[in-house]
Amino acid sequence: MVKRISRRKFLGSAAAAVAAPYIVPASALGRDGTVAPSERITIGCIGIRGRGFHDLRWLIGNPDTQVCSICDVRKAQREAVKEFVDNTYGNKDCLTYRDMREFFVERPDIDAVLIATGDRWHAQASIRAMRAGKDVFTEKPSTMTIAEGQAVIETARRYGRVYQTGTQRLSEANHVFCIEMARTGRLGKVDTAYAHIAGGEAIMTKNWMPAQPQPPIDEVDWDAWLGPCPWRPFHQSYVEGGWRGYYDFHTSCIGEWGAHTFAQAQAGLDKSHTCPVHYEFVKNTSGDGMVCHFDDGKKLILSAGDKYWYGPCGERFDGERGWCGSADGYSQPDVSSPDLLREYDTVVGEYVIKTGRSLDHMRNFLDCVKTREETVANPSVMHHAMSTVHCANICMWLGRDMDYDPEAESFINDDEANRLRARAQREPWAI
Amino acid sequence: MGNMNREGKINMNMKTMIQAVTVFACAISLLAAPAPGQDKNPVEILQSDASREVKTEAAHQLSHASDAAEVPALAAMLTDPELSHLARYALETLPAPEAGAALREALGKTSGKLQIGMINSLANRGDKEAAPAMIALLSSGDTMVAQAAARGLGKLATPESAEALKKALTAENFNRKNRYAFADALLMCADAMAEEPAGAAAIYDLVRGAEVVPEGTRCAALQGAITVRKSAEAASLLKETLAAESAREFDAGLRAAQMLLPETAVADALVAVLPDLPAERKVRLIHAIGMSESDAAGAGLLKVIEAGPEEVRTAALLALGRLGYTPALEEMAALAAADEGAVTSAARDALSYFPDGAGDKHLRAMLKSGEVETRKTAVQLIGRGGLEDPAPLLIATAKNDAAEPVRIAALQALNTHARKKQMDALISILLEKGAGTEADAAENALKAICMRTKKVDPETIAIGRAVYGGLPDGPKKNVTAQVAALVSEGKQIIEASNAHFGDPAPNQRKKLHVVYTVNGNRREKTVDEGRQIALIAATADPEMVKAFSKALAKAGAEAKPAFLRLLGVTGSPDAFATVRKLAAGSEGAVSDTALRVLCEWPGPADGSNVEEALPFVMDLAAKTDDDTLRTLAVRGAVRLLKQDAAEGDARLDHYAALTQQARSPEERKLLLSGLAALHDVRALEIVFQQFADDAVRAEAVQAAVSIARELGKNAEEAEDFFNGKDLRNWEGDPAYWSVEDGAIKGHSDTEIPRNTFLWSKIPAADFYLAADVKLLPPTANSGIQFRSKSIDEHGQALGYQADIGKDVWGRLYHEHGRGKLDWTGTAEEAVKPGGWNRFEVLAVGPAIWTAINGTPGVACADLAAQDEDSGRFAFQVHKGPPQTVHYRNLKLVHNPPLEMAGLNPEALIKRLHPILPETADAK
Repeated sequence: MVKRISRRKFLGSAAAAVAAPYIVPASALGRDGTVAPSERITIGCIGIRGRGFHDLRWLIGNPDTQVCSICDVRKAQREAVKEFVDNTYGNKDCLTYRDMREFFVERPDIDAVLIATGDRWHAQASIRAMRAGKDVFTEKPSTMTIAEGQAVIETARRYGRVYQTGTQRLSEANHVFCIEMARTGRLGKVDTAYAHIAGGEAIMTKNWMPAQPQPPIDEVDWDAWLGPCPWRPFHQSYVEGGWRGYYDFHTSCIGEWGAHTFAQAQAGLDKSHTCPVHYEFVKNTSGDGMVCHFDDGKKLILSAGDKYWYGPCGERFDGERGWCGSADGYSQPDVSSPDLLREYDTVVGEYVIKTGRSLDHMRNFLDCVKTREETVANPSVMHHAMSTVHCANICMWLGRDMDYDPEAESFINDDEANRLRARAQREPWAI
Repeated sequence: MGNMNREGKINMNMKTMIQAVTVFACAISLLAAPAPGQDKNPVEILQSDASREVKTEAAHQLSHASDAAEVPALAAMLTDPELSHLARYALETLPAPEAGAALREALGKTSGKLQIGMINSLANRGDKEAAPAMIALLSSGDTMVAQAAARGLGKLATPESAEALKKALTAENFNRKNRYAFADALLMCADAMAEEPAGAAAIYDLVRGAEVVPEGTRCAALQGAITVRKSAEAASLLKETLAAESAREFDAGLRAAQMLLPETAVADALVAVLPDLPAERKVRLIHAIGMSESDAAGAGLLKVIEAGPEEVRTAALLALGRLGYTPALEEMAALAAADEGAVTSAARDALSYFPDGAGDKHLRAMLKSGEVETRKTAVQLIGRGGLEDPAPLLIATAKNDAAEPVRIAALQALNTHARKKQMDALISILLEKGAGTEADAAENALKAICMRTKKVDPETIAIGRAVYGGLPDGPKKNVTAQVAALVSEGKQIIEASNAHFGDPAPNQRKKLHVVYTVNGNRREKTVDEGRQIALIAATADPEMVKAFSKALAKAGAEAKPAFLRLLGVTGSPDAFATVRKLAAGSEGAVSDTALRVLCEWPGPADGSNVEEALPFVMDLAAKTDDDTLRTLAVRGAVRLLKQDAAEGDARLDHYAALTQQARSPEERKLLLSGLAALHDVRALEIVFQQFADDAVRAEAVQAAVSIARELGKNAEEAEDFFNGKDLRNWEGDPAYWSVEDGAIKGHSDTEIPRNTFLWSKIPAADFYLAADVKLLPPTANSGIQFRSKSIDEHGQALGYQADIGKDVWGRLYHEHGRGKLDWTGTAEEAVKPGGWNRFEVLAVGPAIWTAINGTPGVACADLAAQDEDSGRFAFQVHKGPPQTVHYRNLKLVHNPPLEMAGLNPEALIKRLHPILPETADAK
């Protein structure tokens, strides 16, 4: 680990210094401060494994939630989640479902869903849930294609649903500080942001694992697991998280972290609702160093490794008055001069009071379920960060520079790239 | 992963690793090249009897690269259940009209799932010509098909589609189960009718009134029905909705309101319904108004903050703040100065962040209040960012306010807001107050300015020499110019990497060694490849150092300690000299504080580069009689050593010296915490010296474990130790030693006159050795020499021997030297006499372990050893009657991890007992 210049104590906790952005009405609270069951947000879970359990613990720790069901194509996971939820509440009430379609039809009482399936199902499940009148917290990366992102935006708007993608750093104080420093001009003019991409490859494999006997549908509903993706034979490793790196199932090393870091970088550049117009192809396998240009000359630069960070999922903003950045594991943001941290509490406090957004990503979602406000990682924020991911991926796949029109959402003079904006979905699935 | 698929192709990471060499060409080929092993074009592959996997890969390629000429071939596959999706994968995104025609034709020839696929692809293409066929399918007996057709028509959103869907939703001859899909589709049609709001409104109204349609869909229609209408009409429907009994309808109304705000009629409607709503709905509505940028609603909210339930008033205050509604400021300021719990706290939040500085006037007015509490509140709000550049005002308050609590609050706020401009004023406050709460607050504010003004300045770093390669003895390269160039670019963190310096020693573990100066002070650092050197030099502003020194000279006895501490915070060499002079002085209290400040002197990681700091605290620790001061000095020394104030042998020497001086367990624990961070086998030795002291034994074990963990990271298995065939790399008398069935055999048919040894040519220091040993007869004696040397022409051995033989198995002997070193082993019970026995020896630094057949033998830390940290291995045939010994399955690991006999590092280290020099002498 790199030694930091300043070992100064963290500047007090901005999170504690400011009031909760949305106040749970006293009428909803019982005498002991617990939330009356009738006032709780009822939650159904879809596809919970490693990361999903993290989200579920996070969610269930909020007193105004009631997790009441799990829908999963894997029996083992249905049972594990039921056991966890039942143990938490000390009852046997968590219901289990295998088929998402039945789940939505049979549970009109559920207010919101937590989606932590593999990436290929994030948008598909979100859209179905919102059409069924449910609010959605979904893991990232939340789309496989640009077309899926458009459908998420359209569906959320049409059904008036609250949607949050799991880019939780947008709600973490250190990242909020960096984003606001850049966005509000405190760093001077900021024309470059660096965004961290994961280790690995932009070019993904289309190969298959060798076939294994397909388990009974009750154990693993393999057809539903595959969902809209082209058919391939069952192999146990896929359903245990080994789907990363496959073209059909993943959005590459660029999407793995870019889903987070592009959203962070674009927020600071004030580009959350658009995406770059020009993508410079780089001659390597990961996209490391790719420069993406916005229409006004601002730049988002992809960076792998630890050139700009000493932790995962970082972003950094370079401005006239210095630079600041953050990544996982930082006790305070990394800055070109300690003086930039002077107004840490002010900057973060102002963000919370003015936006009404919590510094807890899950809490922000739950607050919005009540206020019906747009979340911090709403469909448009998600879609425009993921559009950058998809454009950068397509740039790497086709091996040439790309020009993109964010209004028309199409590549300019590149039919081949335009065809990669969508994928035909395997019958009977559709968005 | 590196999985192999069934054709034995390497995929994923392995494949891409190989490609890394020829990155570019291969990267492109993955997407564009024909499927592996095929030179046919992708359409031909789909038509061939290729495997399904290869066909799928071909379809992927066609998804962006097919053309109109390929449509007929693909069209033929649309009706084949196995190929239909793959053909659509290629056709759906192909702009040529031929693709649409093919899909329409297939729509009529398919049923069930395949037909659904056609519907979806045509809808995604926006193929309006497909609408009539889809309309016909709305009455399909297959509900899945009918629903897909409905959604497809929703996407096409032609007028005919809307009409057909309306009929399907209401007419009794359509399946009621499909109504929710018909309703969804109608919403899509209505959303697409921007030019025709009346038509859209009619559809929304139809859907929200429809039977059997789920509540979520009806609420979506309600939202659409409100937002599509003109203001007055929308407002009226909105009022009705917000008063509706259903919570979900209220939600839909709320969302519709958010979409329409800041439209005045809508804002008015919200304010109008507000009084009649229950508190919980009020809060949510007020929240929405606050987010809306609507000026019109402010007046309505103003009434709300005066009285009513706390959560409603709170929400209204925050909303008025967000709206920047200036008429509310008066009341807001009054509430901010009051004592009304959550309401007051919301008023303060709102006032602090009131937009465009409109709240400034009120904050300034509060500052002039006759009430101390009000003034204090004002200072706190200003401190939270309530004013632009508040420092001058805060200084004035800190100087002039009549009430101490207000002055203290102002000084606390200056912690955040003071800049160098405020330094002189703060110094004079500190000089005036001398000591006490206000003085402490002024000192803290000065400290904060000093920390903030420290600069990282590449110009203070000068690179003397930099070398990269297989240090110390391997091929290397002078990289001074490259490192200097990186530093001048502003990099303070240099990674030891081929990317910067090329590869002077391929396939070797490399190091980067840099000699450099910071502010003229010479330093050097060495790191392994892949790690980073931080050449950080953050220096305090010289003007602050001067100002603190000047103030110190002027200060009375009360204020002197504060300025000494502030000089310490600067970490500057000049400040060090000043403080040191006072430490040597005769003023008791001043000298005492000065000594403490010197003990806490910042190290390199805090940006200070005073070379004398470490020698000073080392010297103090050695000489002082004051127990408290010695502990402070030891703590300071450890902190500096942890921050690389000294390196390599010098650092170890310092630790060794401190170990001698440390008196209390607390001091020893500090030392152990520093030693734990070293990745050096010599540090282990110092740690083991503490094993005998029960007061620090637990910390010593922890430190040893943490050192050992790092040491194990460079483990390397020796490949040439024993090849299983002959005695290459070994030397010994062939009359005794040979290789038989892959085992080394030591044998004699006759009486053996003297111990005889087979010597390995491979030297080792820290190692793990394992071998299967068979000894016949079981009463004979053998042994494994390690870290030993041959001392005469007969190859006699001097050094450690892991003993083998009846009653000695697994014990530790010292051949021709110290004799029985550790005779406590209990592994003997695990021995299979006359059979093969797995013998393990692990030696790391002074620690030595043995095990037999997984049962631990001895575990000792030999602190009496002299120059015995490396040497050679030898197998023994003991003098005496005829015997045979076999060694096979030999494994030698250099720099091994601490694992043996199934024990983890902690368990192994806990077993250790020290062999001290006296004990060994006594034997």
